[in-house]
Amino acid sequence: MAEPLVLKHAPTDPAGRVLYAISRAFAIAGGLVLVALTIMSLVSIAGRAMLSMPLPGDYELVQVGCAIAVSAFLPLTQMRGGHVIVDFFTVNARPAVRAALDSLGALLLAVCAGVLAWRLGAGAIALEEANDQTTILALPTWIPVAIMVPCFALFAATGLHAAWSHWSARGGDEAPPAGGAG
Amino acid sequence: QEVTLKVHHFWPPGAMPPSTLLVPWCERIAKDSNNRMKCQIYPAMQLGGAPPQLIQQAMDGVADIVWTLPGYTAGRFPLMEVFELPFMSASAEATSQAAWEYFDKYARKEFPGVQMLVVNVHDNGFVHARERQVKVMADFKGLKMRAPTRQTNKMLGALGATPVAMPLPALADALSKGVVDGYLLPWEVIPSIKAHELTRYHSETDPASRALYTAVFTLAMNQAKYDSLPPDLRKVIDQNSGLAAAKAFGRQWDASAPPARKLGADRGNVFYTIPSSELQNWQKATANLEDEWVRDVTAKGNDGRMLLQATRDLIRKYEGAK
Amino acid sequence: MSGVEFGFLMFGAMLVMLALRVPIGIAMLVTGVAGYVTLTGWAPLLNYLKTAAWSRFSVYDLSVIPMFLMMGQFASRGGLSRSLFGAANALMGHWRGGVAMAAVGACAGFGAICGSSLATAATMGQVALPELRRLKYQPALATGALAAGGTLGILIPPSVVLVIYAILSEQNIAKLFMAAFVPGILAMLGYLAAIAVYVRLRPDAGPANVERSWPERLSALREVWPVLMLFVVVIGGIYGGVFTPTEAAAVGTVGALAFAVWLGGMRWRGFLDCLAGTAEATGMIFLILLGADILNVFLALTQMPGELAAWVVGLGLPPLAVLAVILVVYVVLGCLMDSLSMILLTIPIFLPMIMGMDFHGLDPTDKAIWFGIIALMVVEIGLITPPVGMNVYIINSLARDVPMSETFRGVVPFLISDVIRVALLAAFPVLSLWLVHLLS
Ligand code: NA
Ligand code: NA
Repeated sequence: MAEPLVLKHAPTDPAGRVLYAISRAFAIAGGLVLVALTIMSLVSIAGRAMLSMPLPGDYELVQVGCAIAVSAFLPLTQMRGGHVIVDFFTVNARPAVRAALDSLGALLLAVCAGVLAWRLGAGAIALEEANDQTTILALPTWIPVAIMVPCFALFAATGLHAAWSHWSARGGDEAPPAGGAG
Repeated sequence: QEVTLKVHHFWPPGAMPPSTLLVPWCERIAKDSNNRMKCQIYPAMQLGGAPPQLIQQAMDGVADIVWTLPGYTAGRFPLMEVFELPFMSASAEATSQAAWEYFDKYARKEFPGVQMLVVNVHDNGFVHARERQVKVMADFKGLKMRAPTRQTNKMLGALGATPVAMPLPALADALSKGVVDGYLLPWEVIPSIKAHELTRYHSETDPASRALYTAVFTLAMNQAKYDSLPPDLRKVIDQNSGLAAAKAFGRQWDASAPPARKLGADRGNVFYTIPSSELQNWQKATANLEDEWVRDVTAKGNDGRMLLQATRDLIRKYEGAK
Repeated sequence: MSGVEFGFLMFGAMLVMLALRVPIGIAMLVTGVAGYVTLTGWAPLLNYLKTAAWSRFSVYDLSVIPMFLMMGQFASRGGLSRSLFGAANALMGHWRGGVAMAAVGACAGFGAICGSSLATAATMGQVALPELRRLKYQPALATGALAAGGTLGILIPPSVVLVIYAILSEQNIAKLFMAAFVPGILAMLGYLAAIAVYVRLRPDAGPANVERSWPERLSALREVWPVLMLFVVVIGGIYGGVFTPTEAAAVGTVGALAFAVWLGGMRWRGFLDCLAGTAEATGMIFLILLGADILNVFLALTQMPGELAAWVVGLGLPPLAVLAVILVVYVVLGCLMDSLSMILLTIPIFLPMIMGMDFHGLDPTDKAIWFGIIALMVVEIGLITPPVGMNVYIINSLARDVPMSETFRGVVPFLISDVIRVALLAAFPVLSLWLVHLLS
């Protein structure tokens, strides 16, 4: 009853099903982090209002947690075809052409995500070596950055999977629908 | 013109520190090189990233020159952090020169990959509060105060306040909503976020005493970029770096305080000077921070005691040299 | 080639990629990366990418976006959309066109606790469409009203697009939310008026529902209290200065979660679905944010935004004419793109132009806020204009028997009301700035 059900599509091939399950697990883990942040904020507000004692470093925790959660969300969005495309110019193109273009787009996404995963890994190492930490809680910043690495690696894998499944669908029926922003 | 230097910083384009310090520095570079070398300034993090990453951007060559605070990444520059301990500085002009010499003698190893151009500290940091004047240490009790750095957070805790960390741009909002009751800042920075319109009570420290805190700024250049310059252009950079440049930056910080303070006075805000006798209590309450710092850097293989003493001696040396 | 020319060239390359169905965020990212490498080389790029995603995703102010999206998920799980429509229907349903009006009113109510237009359209569509069809509302009016009503999800604060604008323009999020309030209410009133005019011209398009008794109405109204509570806590908390927007979103999310469990009977399974729904909506937005971030760094390197602004300002055109051209560009782009991408692409270029000119003698802060609200209104028009109108797609997928063209015809009266409202806002900045000045 909740959502734009229309945009949903789940893969049916074995590799896709596995990737989908992992992506959903990542997304739910990220979602739980987000829920934890909301509760943490609530506690901090209550502490501030009643005891004049906000949780130390609540801003930092929101920043760190948000970065982790958002990264963990990206693969599921890709698995559900939720990343927005402009389909205006290709509405009347043959399905095979659209499938080929979508395959190329997904491949590009996979390359970008892969490069970002690689660079984030390098970034985590650099931050660790530099002993970079947050101001109040002295949380080492390399840890959240390192957690972002598998998220982007999985994101790259979902892109590869989409590239492959669009490519094999060239002869077949309709390409999966596009998502949208608002 | 042959060389364009990409200069990156986090201030909004119109803010005072970049326009009174950075822009004139760039103008001197252009003039001394007969316009063969020029800055292209990118304010407000236009080249991407967040302020804590600026120094790494200079080391990596993402930007050619950055102007930033080592204190944004406190764990990374423990040696340089000594200047941010409570009650170190009394004037930006003297302490900036001391900071340069200290950097030159002891802390170069913390900044691999950059050619350091200017080390400087800002003018004296004071206490500013929304609803009541902070006169004695007990007044901190129950106050939620925004502090700019790791050391000032610890200091506020030691003084009895509740430290709240937030980015500078969020401060005005937090003040207007009572999320925080006050903050520590030098005068120079206050008008840039209109904080003097939101805090009525300003508590300054006795000029005879040392200031509550200051923070270190660095203007640093990517080493490879520096090395790639022809010798005559490198000389232009050298002429505008080091001790003399630190002194000039520090003097400008000091000079910027009175006009900024006047903005608060013109609004009818209330000023109070905390006497030295009271500040001694504060100093006692926060002495622990020095010990912690000494322990911290000693554990990393430095002679913390000696460095702390050297810092004090250097600051006095330049105060005497005025 | 000058920086500006190179910037335009890469912009063109990006548009080609967009036309070839490359995901928008990726097209921006690839363009940004290619331009960055051309201007500075590989080594700086690879170093920059070490922390680009981290620094973009760990912005405190951006954290309100996933939180508001999650709050919307829980709110619709808790049946809050249903009770809103029930109450509005009990009050207005017996008028001619009244059920469509009720749908718009419920969209506005849901928009007050949800930051996204698509979620509002989808949620209210599922609730109101069956009732509209049962009463034999003309399909064009039924689907058009819901597609347009969905835009109230963004026009009435909280609003994801405004959060992004606030960050791009370095303005205060709370002030932008305040500035959007009166225009958002005007949008709702304009849509109600559009329905009233429509059924006056086509009396059979919107049959009246049975009239409810006052006790029935009161009991339907009582069902709305959770929405009211969330609204008062979240928006009241932001306007009244009790919370930062992030804190308000956090409080609202926990509140909506409680309602979903208590009133909506949500259990573990439904909870996980909400998390997944939040993930999908958030992932889409943040990929675009990341791409736009890198693209905007490249644009800064070309100096294109500043030089273009200086050039436009130097032409000495009447400021309102420049504004009109900008708005036309938005309407055209809105035919093809989603609102968030449009804001991210254009604000770094258009805002310096606006800030360099005089509008009604506004000071810089007021000007940035005023322009932000106008830009918000115009980019949201794109959600209901052909050929690509996300809200129309969503409503249409819920009413498969209605041809898309029928829905696009149905939104025309609402588009007319949009145009009138934008003109009013451009002419009278007080409409958006009044509440800001009152509350600050
Ligand atoms: Na909204
Ligand atoms: Na459109």
